[in-house]
Order: sequence, then C-alpha cells, then structure tokens
Amino acid sequence: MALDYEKLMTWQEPEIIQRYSIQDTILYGLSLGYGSNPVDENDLSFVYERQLKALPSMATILASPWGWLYHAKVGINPTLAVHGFQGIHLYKILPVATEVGSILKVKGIEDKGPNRGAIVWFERNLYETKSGDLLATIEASMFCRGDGGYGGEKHEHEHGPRQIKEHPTRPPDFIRQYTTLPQLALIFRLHGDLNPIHADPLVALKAGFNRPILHGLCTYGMATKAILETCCDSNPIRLKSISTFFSAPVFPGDAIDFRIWLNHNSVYFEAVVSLRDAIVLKGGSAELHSAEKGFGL
Amino acid sequence: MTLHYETLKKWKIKDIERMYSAKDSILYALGIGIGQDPLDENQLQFVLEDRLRTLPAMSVVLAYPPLWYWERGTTVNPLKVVHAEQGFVMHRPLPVSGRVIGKTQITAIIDKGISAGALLRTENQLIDKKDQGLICTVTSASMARGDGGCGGDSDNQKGYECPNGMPNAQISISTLPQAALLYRLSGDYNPLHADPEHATKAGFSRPILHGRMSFGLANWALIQAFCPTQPELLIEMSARFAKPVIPGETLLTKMWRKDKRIWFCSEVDGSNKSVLTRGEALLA
Repeated sequence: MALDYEKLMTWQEPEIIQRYSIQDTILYGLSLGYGSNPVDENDLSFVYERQLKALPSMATILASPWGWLYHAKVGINPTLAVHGFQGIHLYKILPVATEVGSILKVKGIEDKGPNRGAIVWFERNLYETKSGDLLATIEASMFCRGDGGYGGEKHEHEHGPRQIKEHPTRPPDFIRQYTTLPQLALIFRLHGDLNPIHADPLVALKAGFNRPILHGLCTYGMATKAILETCCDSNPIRLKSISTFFSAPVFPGDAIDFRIWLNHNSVYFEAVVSLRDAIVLKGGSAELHSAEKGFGL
Repeated sequence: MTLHYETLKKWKIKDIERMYSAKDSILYALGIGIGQDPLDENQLQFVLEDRLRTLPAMSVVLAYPPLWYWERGTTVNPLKVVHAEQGFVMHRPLPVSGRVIGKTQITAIIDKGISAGALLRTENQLIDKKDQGLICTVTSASMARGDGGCGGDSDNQKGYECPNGMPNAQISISTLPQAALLYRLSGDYNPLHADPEHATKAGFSRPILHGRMSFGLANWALIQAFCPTQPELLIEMSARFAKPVIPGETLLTKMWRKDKRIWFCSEVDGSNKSVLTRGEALLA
C-alpha cells in the first residue's frame, strides 16, 4: 500500500490530555542520566522531589499521541519509520506536575523518491489545561524509509525544505560525554513510546538493526541536558529553543559525545558515538535567553 | 525508651488498597536492575508488556506501609528504627497488574534488651481485590533500636542450619549509582535513600539502598540460579538484614540447595560486608 498523501495531509488527530506527577518528572530525569552521581546537588535537582526542576525537553514526551502515524493507516510501513527531526520552542518554564493537552497537526510531506523514503512533518502546541498557558511548540518529523516515490509534491513543508547546517569550522568549544545504560531504552519507553523497535530484539532485526535502538527523544533529551549544563548553569529558564536532526541510531550502552559550539546566545551542536564513528545528531541548534533575563519573569 | 508495650500490641495498622499497572511491575523490575542485558529473554520477561511476568519479591512492596511506625501514637521512636528481616510465602502467582489490599498486623514485640532494642514483627496479607484470594503473606521485622527494655513477647525463632561446603550457585548483580533513586519510584520515598543530608544525619556517609531492594536483588539471584524461565516457582523466601548496600556496589549471593530447599546469603562482592544473612527459600 502506497502512502496516501491526501489522507495524511488532512489527518485529524484527537486531542491528548495528560496529567503528570512529580514521579513522572523524576523518571524523565533518571532516564537522561541524572542521578548517576547520586550525591551531586545538580543531579538531584532533576530527580529528587525537594526543589525539583523539569528539563524543558520533557515537553516532547507529554500529551504525545504515540504511534499516531501507524494507527492512522495512511499506508506507512511502521517498521521502517525512524525519527528524523525534533525541535521545541519554549514559552514558559515546565511545571514539575500538572495537566497538559495538545493536538497534533500534519504540516507537510517531502517525497525523497523511490527507495529513498518520505519525510512527514508535524507539530503540536503543548498547553497547561488549568491556566490555558501555552508551554511549548513541538515540531518533529518521521523519516519513513519505506514510503518514498508516492508521487506527491516533492516539498510541501510551509518553511520549504530543511537544510542541515554544517558545524562551525573551529573545533568544538565544549564536549560533554554521557555513557548510556544498556537498559536505557527499557526505562525510556515507560514515558509512553512502546514501539517494540526499542525493546524487542526480533522486531529490531526486522527493521534492519542488530539490536534494539535507543529512542531519538532520549538522545534529544541528553543533548538538552548537555547544553543546559554547559551553557546555562543548569537553569531551565534560559532555554528558548532547541532542535536537531537524527542522522544515525544510538544503541543503549553507547557513549555519546555532545560537541557544542557557543556564540553569545546561539548554540550549534552535534553528537557522535566515537567508538562506532557515527554522527548520531546533526545540525543541532539552540537559542538561549541572556543569563539575567530568562522569560522576563 | 518511649515504647509502651500494651499500646503498641493493640495498635491497628491501616489497610492499604492499591491499584497497580503493568507499567508499575516493569518499573519495579527495572528498579532492581533487571534489563542490564537487554537481549536476555530471561530479563525481558520482567520488563516487556507482551510477555510480562512479575518478580515474586514485588509482593513485599505492593501494599505494605513501610513507615507505619511513624504514625502518631505508636509510641515507637521512629528515628531509631531499622529494617531487620523480610520474608514472603506466595499462595498464588502475583498478577502483572490489578487491585490489591494489604492487611497488616503487629504479630510480636520482642525485647532484645536495652542496648539492642525491640524487634517489631509484622505480617501483611496481600489480597487480590477481584476475588478476595490471598496472593501472598509478607513477614517483616524492624528493630526499634531506641526501645529496648520495653518488656514483651518471647522470641520463638527457629534455628538455622545452612549446609556446609561450596555453594551450589553464586550470582553477582551490580547496582547503579542511581539505583535507589529509580527504585524509590516503586513507592518507598524514605529520604534516607535519596537525600545525602538526611543520610548523614542517620549516620551513613551517603544515601543507602532500600533493604527491600537488596531483598529483591537476592530474589532475582535465586531465580537466575534455579528457575530462570519460571519465576513463579520460587514460593518462599526470607532473610535477615545485616548491613546496607551503597548504590553502585555489587551484590554477591551464595546459594546452597537440597531438593526444594535453598539456603543463601548475600555480601558486597569483593569485601567481607555481609548484607543478607540466614537466607532461606523454597521452590514449588
């Protein structure tokens, strides 16, 4: 079955409402590696209820319609779909516990041609239900490796095709390495993405990987952690936006180097698994608020 | 000493009703450290919902009020209480999700003398709400170190005779530095296991692992050794807590087996620090 372009472009996903607790926020912190030094004050501030903070990238796992692309029955081969791009723009500090809602909207589809795949772009606004406050805009793409050449428009995204920017020519200003746990994908899936490609060795094989792969959103969260620690004194209020392309899978157990270039309040980053010589995140960028300003709060 | 024997003997511990999901069962297993080999089917059975089984030791945390003695009026000095013993007898396999009721009563208050303290024994019946069937009887004992000399019941503890010779099996399980932080999400939020300041005040150099987590680790070791594909065959288990584990340490469990009976003890690998002693277990 070929990708149904019209059906996908007009797809209406129902609204998702999610209540989350301090425990969920702690689990999110633990799943990014906070707490690996259990007596470090900064680590504890993301995993212990006293003075708890939420990492801004947690917006990506809240009120998410996990698996919508598969349930939508628009002709996509789910086994071959992988995360392509992820970005968030933040408007407020994320509460450590509240109720949130969001509605997903399809923004565009790029046909890369037969044997090359198709890229589906979508976006959702995350808001707090009781205050009505907009918390974040979350933008993402899925790279559907088995669904190119459906004959649709080549580029339908309203912003035009996305180009992956190259990193600055100078060596990185900072490098931060995190070693992931072998069981990390098993922990991360408790946030809601139960896609078996991250857990079931047989399903991973069918998708062409010799073992289950880590969730792109987990690597994305670790990138957010790296930038917050390196450029923002771990103060979530300073992060305005962060986005990246996923260029190769991460396997649980990998050690990831986050390479960071800082220019005033603009960050460029990428992530590399040196042992496998794999660039796993490309064209990453983040915008920061000035140290003294935050959201102007 | 503040403990008043008659008051405590008559103390009613409130029943607990708890709903738990497959996600809770998975989180418990991950908290114990299961999944460190994510390709091992014997580990995946505890963390993947499409083939999920429960670790029997989860029964001891599901509907037990770990800090019942903190309640006003028990007369126990709660600051001085440490977990001393843990055990369970399974009557049927623990479902992967459901609604359970825990009925807990104080079964004995044993005076170990002024310098040692008073041993408080409890029994917790874990009941499946759906059909009121008994899933598990959980036994637990806490040492109230500040309450020795209170007078009390005599201790009729049975003897313990571990077979001599080399163990039949030895399993070592490593714990993560953040193990206590993950494990506490299963419901025991005692700050002793997370807050460095609190741990220091209690006399430890840093936060310690939950005793029930060490017990869970030993449970997993027993299953790996004797019934890796049929965890429900492990139907009884008990042990005494000797010393706490520091997150990051590796627990070595030594096991001796005669027919269905197992004796075990656990220590910190590479040291002489005994963690669990007088361990016993039974296979169905």
